[in-house]
Amino acid sequence: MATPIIRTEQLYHEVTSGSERLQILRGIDLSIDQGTSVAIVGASGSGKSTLLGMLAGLDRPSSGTIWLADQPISQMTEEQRAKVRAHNMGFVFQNFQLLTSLTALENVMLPLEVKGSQQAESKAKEFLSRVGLGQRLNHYPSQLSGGEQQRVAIARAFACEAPVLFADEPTGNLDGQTGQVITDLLFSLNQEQKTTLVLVTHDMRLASRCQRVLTMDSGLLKEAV
Amino acid sequence: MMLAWRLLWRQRKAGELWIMLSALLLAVATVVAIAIFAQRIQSSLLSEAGALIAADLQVSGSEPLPDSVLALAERNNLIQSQSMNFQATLITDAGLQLGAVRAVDNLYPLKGDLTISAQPFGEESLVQGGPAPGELWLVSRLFSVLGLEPGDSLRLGDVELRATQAIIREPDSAGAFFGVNPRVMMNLEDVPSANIQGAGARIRYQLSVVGSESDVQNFRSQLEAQYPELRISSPRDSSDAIANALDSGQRFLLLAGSMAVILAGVAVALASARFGHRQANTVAILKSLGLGPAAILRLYVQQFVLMGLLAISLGLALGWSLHALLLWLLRDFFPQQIAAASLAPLGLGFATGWIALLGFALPPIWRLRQISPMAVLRQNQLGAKGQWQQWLFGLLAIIALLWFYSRDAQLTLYVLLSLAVMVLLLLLVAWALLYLARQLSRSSSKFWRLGIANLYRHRRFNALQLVVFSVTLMLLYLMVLVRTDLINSWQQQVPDGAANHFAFNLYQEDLPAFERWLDEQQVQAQPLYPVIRGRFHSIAGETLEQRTANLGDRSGEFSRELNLTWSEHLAADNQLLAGQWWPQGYDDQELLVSLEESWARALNLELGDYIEVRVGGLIERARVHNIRSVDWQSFNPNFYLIFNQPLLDGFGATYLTSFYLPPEQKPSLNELVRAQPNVAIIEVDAIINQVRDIVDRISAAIEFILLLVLAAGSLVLLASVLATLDVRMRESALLRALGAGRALVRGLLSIEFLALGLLAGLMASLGAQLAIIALQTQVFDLSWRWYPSLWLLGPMLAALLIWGLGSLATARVVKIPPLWVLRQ
Repeated sequence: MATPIIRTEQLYHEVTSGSERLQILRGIDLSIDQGTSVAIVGASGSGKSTLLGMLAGLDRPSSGTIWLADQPISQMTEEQRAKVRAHNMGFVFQNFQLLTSLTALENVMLPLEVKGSQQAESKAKEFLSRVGLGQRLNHYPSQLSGGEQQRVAIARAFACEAPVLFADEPTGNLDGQTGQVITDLLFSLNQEQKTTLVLVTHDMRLASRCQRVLTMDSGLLKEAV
Repeated sequence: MMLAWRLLWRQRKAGELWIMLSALLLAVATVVAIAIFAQRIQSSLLSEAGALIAADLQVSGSEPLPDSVLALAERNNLIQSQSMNFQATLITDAGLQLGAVRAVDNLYPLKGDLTISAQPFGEESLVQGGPAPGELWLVSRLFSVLGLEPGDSLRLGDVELRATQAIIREPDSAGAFFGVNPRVMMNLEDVPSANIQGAGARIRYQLSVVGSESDVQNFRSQLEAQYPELRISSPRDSSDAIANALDSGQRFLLLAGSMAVILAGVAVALASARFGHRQANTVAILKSLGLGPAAILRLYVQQFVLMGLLAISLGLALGWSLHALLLWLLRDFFPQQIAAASLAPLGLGFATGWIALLGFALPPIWRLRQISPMAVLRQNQLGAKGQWQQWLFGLLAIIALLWFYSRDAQLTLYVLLSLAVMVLLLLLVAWALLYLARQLSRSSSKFWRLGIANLYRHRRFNALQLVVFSVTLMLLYLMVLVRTDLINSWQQQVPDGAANHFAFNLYQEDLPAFERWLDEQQVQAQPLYPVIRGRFHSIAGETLEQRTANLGDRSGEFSRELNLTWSEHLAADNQLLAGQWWPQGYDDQELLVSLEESWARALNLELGDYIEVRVGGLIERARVHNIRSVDWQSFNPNFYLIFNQPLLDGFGATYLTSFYLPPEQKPSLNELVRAQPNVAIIEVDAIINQVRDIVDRISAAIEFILLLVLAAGSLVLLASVLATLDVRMRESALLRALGAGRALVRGLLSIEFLALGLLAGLMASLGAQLAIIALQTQVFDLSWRWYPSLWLLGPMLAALLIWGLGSLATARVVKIPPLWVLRQ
């Protein structure tokens, strides 16, 4: 039986906006097995990005517990969570989130260097070649198209060889055709690396390529059948 | 450290890094350049001023100076020259004349120029060292008084000496003016054979020394502690005008330097706030990649240390080069041999760099660690707003910098208080003006309406920017005004045509001939004042000893023989402080006296008190009728005591006056002294030239320091314009994407900057006017006045300056494709 790599128990999150209190997550119980791919879909404002942020340890829930690789990350300080992220997670974002002052190669090397990897450069080059940007190592993000920027982001996410990959609307800023190419790349690399993939999207075609699809609605999570 | 360095290196193309670096670099460079320049110029001027006493320090006493004093000078590595001063009678076949003899060694003068001539009033030549043994040098007029030709012999005491040269100018002639007989110079070796010591003559033994500033200072303090009976004098003591110029000059440099320090600090603050802002997204990404808050802080602190090391060492080097460049540019104004710089200014620059980095740049970075990694998912979480801690840090940094720079608590407090009041007032006014501008623009053209609307939309930020502009411009205007005022007031101290000769020892019967000579030379003289010598007998019913018991060293000032005069008129450079001047006509009225203010204060005399003076064996009693101030720097005859009617009926009085004689008419002095051998002339043109020279040099130094302050100010303006560049770029790109032409975008930006400049200039002029009143009256002892040109030119210049800088900085906005900006 597969072991869960991510698990949540009664996850609640609320924020105050002025005098108003908004319940974003309302008791999420979730378990994601290692090596599987899970899509979280839902309308804008349904809380799916918040959930992704919580699962990745980018923020802490108001109550409830999150385990990642058997570590209770919801109870950890930001410092400890950062350490967990460095060794266990990769990210792909809707707006790419590349550092504009670094070249494609330097952007991919960055998380490797943060981890203290000795082969940062060779590994970064290898992954950039695998996403088809072997010839554009020294280009800056502003010199790359949106699709190319997202490919750099994907290379950055996989180069760390982290067990879990979080993707937030990875094709949200791209046209249909480019989005398709990026999706193919994402899933083929995911398969090769045996990574656990958690992605948030409102694109049902993208979601349908995952093994599981969860629907977020007003802070509640339902499994699609 | 490696990651920090790699990240820093890779971001070398990021603009904000360069602004940050250059702001820090310029902060350090400005401070170092000003500090070294000021220090070297100051010591050079002080050293030059040494010419006034022919040394850096003079020690004198009425007994031969003990060997221990000479040994003390030796221990302090000082070069020494000894001399003796006394009165002696010169005897020739033609007659007798009392001369003021200075016996010198071969090293005289240690500082300044001794000028002599082979013929009386003849061609001048510079000489090092006094007369050889057996020779005597005399001022030109003595040749005719004594009927001598160069080479003739004369007797001084028991020795026969040859009069070989005429003394044209000695560096230390500024000493005592009156009661001094014409100068005669001989060699120290001839003094024993002249045998004047045995004759009960009053001899002053003098040691002159030169050396480094610190050695001289050490020597002085050791002397003061061990030999209180010796008289010590420095160049400062010899001329009020020069001491005054040096002091105000120093205060100005200090003030200007402090301004530069603050401005540079603000530039660093602005640049690092922008740096911090632009780094927010990077931090969010780095956090998502697994860097914790501590690692983020470490990373940025390391980056800052690296940047600080780089910028500060470059700044030190640049500052050093800048001061060398200044000295080179000013090479005509300053002596070839300029005092060496100490390491202190470099330490100051080093500290300034770190304080600026810590106080202004660290707070925005400190805040970066708090940025939530969630920001990678939600951009709106990036907005870490400015916090009061940041302002507190900045304030502490300013206090630290000011204090560190000036070591003057009062100055620090003044500057801080006025800045605080200024900033608060300006914020209020800025908001009000922006609101008003918006109301007014509603009825104007499209350009103005849109431009002002733009200003108004970012009013919070623009108000702040307006304050930065206003304060910067205010400081710049202030410096320009103070400098102009200072230089003017110094130059007025020695106006063209100021009296450069004193004539005294004129008897009643000499006056017609003397006045005829003045007419012939077409020379306008000051009034002729009768002089009778006398001493205080009693003061307000007490003896002089009782009255001056608690005055210490100063009591000697009042016990010596005084020059007493009487006059119907108040001299032009005197001002009545209390009481009335007396009406004309002496007649049989009561004897009244007018008192100089410092004496009235020292002797605690008030209107109506009585003083008694002993004149020619008689005691005269006079009532204090008024108290007046005297401009001692005016080179006009001035007196501590002026009576309303002749003392002793004017019997035995001699007359004195001063006049301006153009250099080309100097030979006519020869005729005067030949025709009237009694008349003594003191030539003060040399000291006037020296004062003027030093004032000119300090003025030149101040002009250049001002340029450096202007550079620091421009940097702040530029940093401030750049701080809003992102917003303006984005907005302009959006406007252009929506179809606005380049002309419209450029026009809008121009109007924003012009309006900002105009408002800032207006407030800066107001602030500068208020501040200069405070400075003139409190710090520089000048009288205050309005500056109409400031109110006119201030806003216009500011509008042009801000518009120019703004247009320059935003030139790219209209050139690059809008898409590029929107994509960033």
